[in-house]
Amino acid sequence: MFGLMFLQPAFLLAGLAAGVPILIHLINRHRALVHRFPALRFLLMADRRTARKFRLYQLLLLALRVLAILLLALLLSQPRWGDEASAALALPPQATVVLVDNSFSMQFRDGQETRLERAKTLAGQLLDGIAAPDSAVVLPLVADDADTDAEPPLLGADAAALWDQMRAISASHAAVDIAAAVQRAIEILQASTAPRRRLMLLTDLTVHGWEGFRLSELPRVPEDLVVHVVRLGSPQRDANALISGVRVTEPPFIEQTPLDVTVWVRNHSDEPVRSLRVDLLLGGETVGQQLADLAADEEVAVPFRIVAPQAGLHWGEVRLQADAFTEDDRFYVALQTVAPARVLVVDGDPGTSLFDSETFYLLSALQPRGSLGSPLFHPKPLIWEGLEQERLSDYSVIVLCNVEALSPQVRQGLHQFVADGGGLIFFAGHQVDATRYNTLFYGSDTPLLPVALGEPVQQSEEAPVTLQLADNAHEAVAVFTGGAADMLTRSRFYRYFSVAEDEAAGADVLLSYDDGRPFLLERSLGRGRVLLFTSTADRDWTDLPTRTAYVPLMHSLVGYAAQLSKAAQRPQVFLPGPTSVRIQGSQEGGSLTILTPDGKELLSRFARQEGIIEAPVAEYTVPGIYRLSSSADTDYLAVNATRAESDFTKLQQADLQARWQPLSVILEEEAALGQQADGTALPGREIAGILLLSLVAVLMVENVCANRL
Amino acid sequence: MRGATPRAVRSRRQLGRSYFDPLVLAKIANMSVRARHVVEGLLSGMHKSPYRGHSVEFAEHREYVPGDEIRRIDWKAYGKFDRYFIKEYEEETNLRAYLLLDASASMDYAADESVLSKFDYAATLAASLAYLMLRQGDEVGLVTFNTEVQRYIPPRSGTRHLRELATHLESVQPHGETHLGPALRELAGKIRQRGLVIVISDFFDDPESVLRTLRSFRHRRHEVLVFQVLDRNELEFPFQRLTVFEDIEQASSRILSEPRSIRAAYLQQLQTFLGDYQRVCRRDAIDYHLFPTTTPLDVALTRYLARRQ
Repeated sequence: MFGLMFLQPAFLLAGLAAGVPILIHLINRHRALVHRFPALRFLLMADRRTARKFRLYQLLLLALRVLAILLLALLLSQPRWGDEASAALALPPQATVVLVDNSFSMQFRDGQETRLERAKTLAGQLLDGIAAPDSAVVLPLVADDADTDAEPPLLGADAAALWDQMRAISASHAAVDIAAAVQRAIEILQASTAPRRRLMLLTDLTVHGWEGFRLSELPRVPEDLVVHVVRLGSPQRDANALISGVRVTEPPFIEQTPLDVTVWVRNHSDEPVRSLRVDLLLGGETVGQQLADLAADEEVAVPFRIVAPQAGLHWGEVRLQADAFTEDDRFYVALQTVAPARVLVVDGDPGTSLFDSETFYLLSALQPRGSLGSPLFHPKPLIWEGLEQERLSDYSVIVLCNVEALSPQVRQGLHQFVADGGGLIFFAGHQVDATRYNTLFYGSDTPLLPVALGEPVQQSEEAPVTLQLADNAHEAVAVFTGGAADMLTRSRFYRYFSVAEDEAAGADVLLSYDDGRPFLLERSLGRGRVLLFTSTADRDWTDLPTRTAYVPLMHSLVGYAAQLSKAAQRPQVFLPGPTSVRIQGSQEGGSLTILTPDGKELLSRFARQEGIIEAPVAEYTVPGIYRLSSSADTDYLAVNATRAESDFTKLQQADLQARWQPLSVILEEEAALGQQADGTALPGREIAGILLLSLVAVLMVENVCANRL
Repeated sequence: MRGATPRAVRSRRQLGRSYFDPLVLAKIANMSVRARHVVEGLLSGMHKSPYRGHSVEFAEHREYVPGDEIRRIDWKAYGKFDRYFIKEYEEETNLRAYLLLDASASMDYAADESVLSKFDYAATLAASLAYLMLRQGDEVGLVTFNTEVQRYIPPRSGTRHLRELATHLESVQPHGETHLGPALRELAGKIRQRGLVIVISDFFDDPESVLRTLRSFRHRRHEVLVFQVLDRNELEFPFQRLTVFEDIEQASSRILSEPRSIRAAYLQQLQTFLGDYQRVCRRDAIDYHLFPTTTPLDVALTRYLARRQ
């Protein structure tokens, strides 16, 4: 039996507005203008011919306007016609949970709109079909943490509330947990008293997120649950190219020296990609451009070589030629460059010739040697007597080589220099007396040595000691990890200072002799660092200066003392957060200010932890460069969109069915939504199109009649 | 009979001074009105007449033919040429013009206050013509009428007469129905001396009756000029809204109409009406001219007089 039902019957009341044209018609007759006119005789003669036609047109016009309003009221009330409509009227109430996939892959564009926008449009159509006693709720597939903790929303039939739920859904960088989302939906449905329950999932069916889902593993699955999956996009894998990573080598980045930037580009596609353009921008300016060819499912490294900009913090961006999924076509990086470190090398035992001096090998090692001739260090030799005339703050690192003693003023100056962030390196030698050194540099009110020196240890010519590298090498000597450790262990030591074991606890041992005694120790002092070599800087007690390892070791240690490690690629994270940031704070503690790429300024307070503060930050919501500021330091954090959703391999129907066992899933394509006679589609035939055509036709005829009058 | 509306009275008072506005009349003063068919009169001015007038002027010589009066032979010419010539004369006479002005209620209509009513326009036209002709020494009479003759001012010349005409024009209040036929027939009996008859009206009457009377003027050998004055609303019918049209002369006669639907038929009826007048006037040698009230008065007169020349 055929029937007519209305999804929005309240709009039928709008049909009462059909009386408005009649009222207007009657009022206008009484409100006609009166005009005294001399040529009435011609009007009378003309009226005899036209009056009847005019009245006919007027009545026709009136009827058309009334009809137009009635059609509009019918259209708004969304009538449906057919025997399904009659059946729907007789069906018991149904509760529906609409799950909208808002994972990041739904930002893929098949045309102008993203799949998420289309999913929301489809959800809107479904919601329009919900009327009491049926009920529904709209949920995002990927819920924010706040949503997960909150009370689940209630089922309802209030169209405005449902639309609000749907509009609130936005794309999420968070990991997809389909099992949790389905579990949540089932709990909501189980709380409903409606005899019919259905779960509608609007998704692109990319495989990511489905790996860990099996319906059978969820507790308490209702047997009568109808599962309806609407697929957006094609069942085939969508092609997508992305930037998977960017690395800048080799730190430290010294201004005006060459920097190698490697960009990894991946092709998530079954087809090769040719001549894919990759742009590298620094501070918004394009500094490099390359074309990449990628085979199917291949990742290639695209190299760039740029010149390091002036000392300071810099941000860069790599852009890939845009495709349908633009979110992973950009990659943000941040880096810091510094000027070459000024190193004051103090010679405590100047020889008669340069070759005989204590600092000959060290100065040779620190001399500029770069492919572009740009130096990493600017070493300046100085005889120990001249130290009082030097302004220490002009230097990053001061190296004391076999210096016998220093005046209290110089010691005071050195102590302040280190506390302010400078680096101080001691080399031992025959002029170093342990007792005097401990008095001057360890036990005084301006302590500088990491540990107290012990007695010198003499090895025989036949049995010198060598160096050994610990497994967990300190960052200052990390350059020797791996195969390069042999370079270090070949050096031989014939004499060195022992250190007081019981007082070495506060210092880090960076390198040791193979007899277990420390060779190199380090201790932080204020914001600076002090390093102690227990042997000489020249060949007096060791052959290390003649070894290959000497130059990299000195570079690494002087760079560490000068704190050049910050002149590197700044930290980067992928959305979603949270992550933590480390930044130099003041002695008293302070606050961290974060300036986000979208212009928001966030302030968080934190406690000091030995000058370095570490703050958990969960404010990253958009990709870009975040500027972090404390009272003592400024840094950049590069935040990039998640790459977890970049592979658009699709879950196939058989796999989908298997994952939903023991229930059967109705899979429907986006374009065919509402056409399946499965009880989940909207009941009855849509007759809005016919009504709309009729309305247009009536309005056209009305327009013609109105113009003829 | 209804009195003139306040608007109409105010409008005419404002115009009282401009009936003889020099700016209007200066353009017309240098033109001359010449009757084309008034040939009886003698040449005594710019209007030549085959009829006897105040003075005699030599016209031409022609050779004597048997039958001519002997006393008309020019003996001086015979002495010069030794042949007989007859001397012929023309008499120049003053033109006698009658201005017939329709003062029925239908003339008291204006599209809006920014334009002249039909009567204002017609009265200004009549005054301008009177000034022109009196300045040339012609005699001008004025008749105002509706269903019958309201006042008849016989033709006279002189500036004092002009003042009398103007005073009357300013005092006239258009009223009553239009019955041109009987009024004009009555006038035809009064105007015996041949002259120029100028009828100024909207001619919203039975055309047959009006034209019959105009023909009778022609039969009495008058030169007849017809100035039909119509308002822009009458000619274009630009109304848009649903309107009750009420006859300006008979308030009981009214019609509710949607103007856009009736406009085409109305204009067709009007054109038929105007076309009939034009056709019959042309056939009977009556000079017909249509003046919409939107036509500037001096331009209309200049254009018309140039055509008359």
